[in-house]
Amino acid sequence: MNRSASSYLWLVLLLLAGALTAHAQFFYFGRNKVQYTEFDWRVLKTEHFDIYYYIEMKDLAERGAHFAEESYALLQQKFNHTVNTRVPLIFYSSHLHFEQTNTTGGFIPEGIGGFFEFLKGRVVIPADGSVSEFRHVIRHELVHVFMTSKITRVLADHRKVGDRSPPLWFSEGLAEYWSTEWDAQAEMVMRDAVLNGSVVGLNDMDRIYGTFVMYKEGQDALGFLSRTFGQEKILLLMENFWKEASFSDIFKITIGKDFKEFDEMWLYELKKKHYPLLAAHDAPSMATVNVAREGFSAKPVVYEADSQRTVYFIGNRTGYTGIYRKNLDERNPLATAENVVQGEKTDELESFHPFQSRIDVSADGRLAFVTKSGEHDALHIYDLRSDEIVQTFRFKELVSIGSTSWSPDSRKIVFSAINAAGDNDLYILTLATKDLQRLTNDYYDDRDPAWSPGGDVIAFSSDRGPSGPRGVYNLFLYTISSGRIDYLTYDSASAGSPAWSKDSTKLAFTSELGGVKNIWVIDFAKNPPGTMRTMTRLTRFTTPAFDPAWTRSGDLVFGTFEKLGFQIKEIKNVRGVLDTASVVRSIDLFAKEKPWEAGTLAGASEIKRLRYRGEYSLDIAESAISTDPVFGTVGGAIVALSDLLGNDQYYFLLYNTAQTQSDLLSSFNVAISHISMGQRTNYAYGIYRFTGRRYDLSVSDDYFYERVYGGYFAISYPLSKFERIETSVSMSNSNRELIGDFVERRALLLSNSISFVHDNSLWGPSGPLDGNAFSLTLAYTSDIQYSNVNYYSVIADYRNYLRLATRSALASRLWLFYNDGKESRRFVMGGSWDLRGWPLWSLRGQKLWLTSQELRFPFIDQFAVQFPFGGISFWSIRGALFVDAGSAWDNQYTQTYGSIGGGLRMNLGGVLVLRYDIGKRIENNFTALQQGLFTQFFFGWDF
Amino acid sequence: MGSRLLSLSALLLIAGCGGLRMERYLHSRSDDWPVFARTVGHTASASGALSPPLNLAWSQDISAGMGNGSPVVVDSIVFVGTLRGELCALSVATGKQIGSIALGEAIQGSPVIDGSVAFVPLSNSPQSITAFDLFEGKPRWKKSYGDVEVTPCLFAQKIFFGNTAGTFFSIERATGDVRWKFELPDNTTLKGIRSSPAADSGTVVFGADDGKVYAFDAETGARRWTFDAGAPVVASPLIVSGTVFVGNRLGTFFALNLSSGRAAWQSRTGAPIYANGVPAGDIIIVGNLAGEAIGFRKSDGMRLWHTDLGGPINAGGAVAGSTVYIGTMKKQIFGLNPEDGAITWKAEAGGRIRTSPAAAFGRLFVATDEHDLLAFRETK
Repeated sequence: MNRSASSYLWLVLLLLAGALTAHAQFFYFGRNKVQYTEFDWRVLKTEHFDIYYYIEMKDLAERGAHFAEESYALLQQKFNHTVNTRVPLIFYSSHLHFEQTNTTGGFIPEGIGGFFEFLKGRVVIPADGSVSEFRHVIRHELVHVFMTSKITRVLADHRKVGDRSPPLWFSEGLAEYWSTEWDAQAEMVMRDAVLNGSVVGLNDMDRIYGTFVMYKEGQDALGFLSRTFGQEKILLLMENFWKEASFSDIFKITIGKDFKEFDEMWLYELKKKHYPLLAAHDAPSMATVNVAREGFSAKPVVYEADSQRTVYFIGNRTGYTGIYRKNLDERNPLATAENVVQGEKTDELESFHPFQSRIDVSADGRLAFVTKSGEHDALHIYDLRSDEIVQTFRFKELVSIGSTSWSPDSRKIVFSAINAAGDNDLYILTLATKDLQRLTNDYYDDRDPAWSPGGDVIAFSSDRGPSGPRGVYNLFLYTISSGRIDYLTYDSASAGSPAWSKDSTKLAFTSELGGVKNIWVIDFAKNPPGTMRTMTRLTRFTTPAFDPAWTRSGDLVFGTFEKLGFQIKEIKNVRGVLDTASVVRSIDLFAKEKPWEAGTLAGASEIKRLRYRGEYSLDIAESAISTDPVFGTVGGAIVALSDLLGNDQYYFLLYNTAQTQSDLLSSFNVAISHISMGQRTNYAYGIYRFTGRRYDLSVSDDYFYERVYGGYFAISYPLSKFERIETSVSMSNSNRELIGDFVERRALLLSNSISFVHDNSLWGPSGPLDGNAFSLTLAYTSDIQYSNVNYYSVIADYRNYLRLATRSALASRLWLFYNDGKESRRFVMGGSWDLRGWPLWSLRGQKLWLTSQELRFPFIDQFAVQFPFGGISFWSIRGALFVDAGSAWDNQYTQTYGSIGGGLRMNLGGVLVLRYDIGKRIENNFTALQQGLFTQFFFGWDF
Repeated sequence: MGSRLLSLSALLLIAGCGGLRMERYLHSRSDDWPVFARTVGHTASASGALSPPLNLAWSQDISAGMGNGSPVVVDSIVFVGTLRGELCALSVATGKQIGSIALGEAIQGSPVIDGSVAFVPLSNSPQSITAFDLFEGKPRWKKSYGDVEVTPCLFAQKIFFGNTAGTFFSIERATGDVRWKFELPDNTTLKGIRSSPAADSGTVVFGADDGKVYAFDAETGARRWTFDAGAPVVASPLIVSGTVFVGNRLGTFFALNLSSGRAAWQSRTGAPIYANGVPAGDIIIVGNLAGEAIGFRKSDGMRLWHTDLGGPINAGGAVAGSTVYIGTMKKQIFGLNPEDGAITWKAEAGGRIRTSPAAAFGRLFVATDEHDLLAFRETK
């Protein structure tokens, strides 16, 4: 392949790959963001918003539009401000659909509930079945929109440069403070942080930067500020934004206290509020039997056979989430749980929903669990005796699946699921026939079904009660024979995760009464029909308990949150605890009211409905002039456009390399590319014309002048999140002259390539720690007019990462690169990225091999230096020991080169890894070590 | 009228960029709008009529936003203080800039023009108040009393204002020396004063972020009364017929007896009130951040009408003849019939309107946050 012509093609492919993949050291690796679903986009125009939605979620979009306008009216008062431009809101009906968005290039983790993208001013929000949460997220993101607009306006009014923005704790804290009430989740986070000593003040917020804890601490801090200093201070913080460049100085001007002084007051109040809890409450770890506390552990279920009790749960010990099991009666505290289903490495088990989907085990020993699997979620049946997945169910009409529960006869499973319209309802699957029966069909959020051991009713949690719009869930009973739904609880605090005892006499569940989730029990034996039903509090934890599951003997296993970790605990002798419980609450079902109705846009003005057509706006518009002692002065510009949904991107590159006025017209370099990512098959095409002097290090150290013009077409098809096929074809006319020798070479080059890429590696702070990656490329390049060029290429790259411990791994790499034919390209090697110790790109050849073995391990977790005026910390410094070997040659193999040594790596802000290596080259055809040591300092991720 | 304005303007020397100096003393005219809301009581009523429909006479870029006051007009010159700290003078007739002078970081309130002296409040600047001699083109005195983000009240040869640290000052017009001052009580949380004081019958009245409305004897500084409004009072009071009208950030509009401070009536409007009320006969008109303009009967607070103007109302209106003009942050200026709230005229302003309009010399002056000063005149 012609080096110069191909480099332009690779540049464009890099853009394509960059949009599709993440965490790639080299662009041909990385996982795939797959556009499984072809959305039929529509636009709903309201007074202040352009709402983008797809046709299946029309009703949800209208509810969202209502919430958006409702929030706008509220926020324009809170901010004393209006937003002058129409705000684009892009809605998805589920998180799985949201994960396909092209409005951001990276992968979207399950915890991301929406975002405001500053460049295009667009807000992207998924629904998750809950109308109240949908409303909350819309308002949260609109706070960002208003805040950005307000601060921009304040700075513009005072003619100040818009080079400052509020700290993340303030912007996210305010977005929470003005969009939702203080709820059980917020209380959970703050209680845990205060009682376990991990709460930080405003002065130290960088220690928890970007975490959910920071959101909630910001929310709490602003609540305290508002209560103590006056609600007007929050607005004043923004209106005073022009006064100082530093937010801490603005803070001091506005409330009269600096961060440190404020922290003294705020943290003291937090202690006063939360410390008294310990008088009547216990930390979960102090009042329970520990079951699993390593890593992340949640959603337990107990299986009992042959007098052995085994707890199964969703866990994460290594970075990959999967199903774990542990003997519930294991007395060895050091015993670790066994990973029985390893997720997140294959398309079938692409990802678990550890916060959303409860698992369940049948009486005959089959475990039902849910994973994302391609476009939709899949329901898997895992046989506990044979330790294998025996059945997998996918439902075309269901996008996301929640918790599962077996029928007593093990023939059916009830589960909650979100359809394309965004409704979360209950379904029953009959395993033998694969029949799917829909139990509920409405916009209420129905979750956590639990089939009673008697088989006649299903308990579930739902927001269909009158307080549902505020996010309050109650428990309901669904009678299978009649389809009737009755209240089981009726309270102002949410209840969820019902679990029947094996004898059907008790129902354990979580309730947020008292601030955070604790476990309560309804004892039906003590609640005969006709009497006022009561519920009894079982746990009195300071921090929450989740997802109770009964054992046959009446013990309870459940999840807890403590010290920022999710663990599994057990309470034995539940009956005894209940008999002595002091908190019993009546359930007044006579007070119950009708379900609520969602607000609509009815009567609102300026509503239009349109089909979406690409609306393009600038992403990048940059110009630059550079001067180089060799290449002279080059001036140019690049412009990038994309549509509002990010599906189509256009790049325009224009620069001129003329050295004299007469060269001006002939020295224009132009490239136009279009990248389409709206469908699963991504493609790119473009045309280009480049001219100028080149330096080709792959051939020689010579300069040559080249004029090349042509076009290309490239396709990338993701087979799954982990594998893809790429192919490209390009044709270019290349005319080059070797400067000095006046040797001319003309060629009409036709290049074809096809690649297969696999990557399921898991990344640590400096590079991959687990999984493997593989890439194979076959290419053929020929001059179809002059026959000056004619060669083929085989490029194979394999990496394997063998996890040795949680944070250490043995990384292996093998390269085999092979070019053969007329004017075939030479590969280059040497330097920190491949053959360490040898000068950068000093080894060249049409054939190349390289192998590297590297032991990666943690070295320093935190390195802090405290100066009199402040401190600085460096995190996650990693160590490496390595050995490399390889060679590059044309026709005759010459010798083998190598190196051995060690190094340190330090991650800076998640975007850059600084690397320092020291070692010895292995010279003389791999027979002698270098005299002295080499050292190399560079940056870039580990291979 | 137009030719007269032109000839008056022509008598003035344009000092050029970066300077502001008049060739002659400014004279008080009956058409003047010399302070925010025209009078020390903030009555905001023009001397002449200005009947809709209005047409845009001119638009002038003043290079920065305007704060919470209004343009002021004296002797056919419009003066605006900008948030970039510049005092600008423009011709009423043409909008042409006569001159400007940078006095500090920001002018949040309005200047007060008295004779040929402009008393300019400043924020985040070394000085708090500058008495700028427009004839000499230089300050007469400068004083530092903290950040002042209100429009001062010039009353009985004293200047009254509060600062953002919660201290209220009475200073001498001639020298800027303090005659008396008052600090908000128990002010441990830096409550400020952002409500421009109004005065009448020897009493000066203002609201504060501590949720109180204060009244002082203008001469002695003796506190006459304090009224607890229950929420920060950012709006400036209106004093008319012995009654103080003012709203708070929770949206309650109060009528207080000027002598006693007792509430004659109060009414909840449902949204924060930042705007001062304006009187039109027996009706008091006030807007809130929900975009509602509301007409109250002055005597008993009966809500006579309310009109949705579609965008938050951050500033009070101006009455000219039988029309009250009110701007909104939805970038529109409205003319309303004070009797029934009917919209009689509407125009697009091109930017959010956060300041009160001024009506003088046959023009309606409106500042927008697109840094434009607009002048409308009658269509005929």
